[in-house]
Amino acid sequence: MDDRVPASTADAQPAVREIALAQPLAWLRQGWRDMHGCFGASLLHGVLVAVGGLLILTLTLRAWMLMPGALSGFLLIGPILCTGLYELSRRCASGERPRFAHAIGAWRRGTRPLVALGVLLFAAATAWVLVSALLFELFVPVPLDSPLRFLRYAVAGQGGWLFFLWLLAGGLGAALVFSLTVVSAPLLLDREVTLRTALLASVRAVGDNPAPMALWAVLIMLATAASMATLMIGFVFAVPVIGHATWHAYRDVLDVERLPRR
Amino acid sequence: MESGLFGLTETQVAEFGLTWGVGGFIAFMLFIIWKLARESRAGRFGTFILFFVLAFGILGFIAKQVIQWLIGIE
Repeated sequence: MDDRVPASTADAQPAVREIALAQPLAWLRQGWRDMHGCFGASLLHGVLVAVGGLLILTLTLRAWMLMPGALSGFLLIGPILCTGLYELSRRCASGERPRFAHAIGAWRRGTRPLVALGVLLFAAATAWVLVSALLFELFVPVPLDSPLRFLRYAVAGQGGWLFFLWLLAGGLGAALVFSLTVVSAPLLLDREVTLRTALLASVRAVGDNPAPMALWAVLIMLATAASMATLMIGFVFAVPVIGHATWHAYRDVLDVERLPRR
Repeated sequence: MESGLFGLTETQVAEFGLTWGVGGFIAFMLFIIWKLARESRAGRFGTFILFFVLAFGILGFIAKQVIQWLIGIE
């Protein structure tokens, strides 16, 4: 946690607003509009994530045990990968013309709690890759030496129960990471708060709006599944829209007017 | 004869790991969820976790059906 933030600021908690069930659809519309507002810079984020996903897919082609964990673990660090997009939306909202340099500036600003959040997410992703690989390594009694054998075993026949166990553990982990990060990254970028304050505010935002936040999570899951089904190409558009939409989610759910700007 | 670890067969180690290891891992995550709900005083955090895991499971089930259909297995 960052101890440099003064105690009075560190203690201040953002208030959580209750939102309508359909609000996540409005976030997507606003995200789409922002993507058009700064098309090149936005799309570049999507391209980088798509290339990263393809790289992981290629690297894990020879190590099947690592693939499910590596791909899903890669998604866990998504909130940090979208840092530049939050900054572009912030500039849009304040009436400025957003440029790519602004996105780079957000990364270079690299405030300590934001970096700490990145490290936390990276640790969670790494732990998940290891747990996932261990699950397949320990409990698969047949050699998985080709993609087809892996899919046949993991999703059908005797490996079916393993797939559901993997889903349950992954679902709980993803729910935790989603709750901790749904609005904490843009909050850390925008306001002078500690990492702990940002994480708890995010959990509170989710707990006070369970249905709209579940809908938001489903929309992100669908966009992710569609992007993976198109061999990562879908990420080129999905990442910018969701990244910008996350900024609008943050502005809608949290009342941060009392908190000092970063 | 199966190779052993601390006098246990490979099958016994796998069964032990699956029931206690994975069970413990899931229980640990549930503990973190409970602790977070308490610390953040988030009223319906448990409801969200239920919604999320259910949606994740349904999407996983659909993905399983699609993959099975694509690679032609029952």
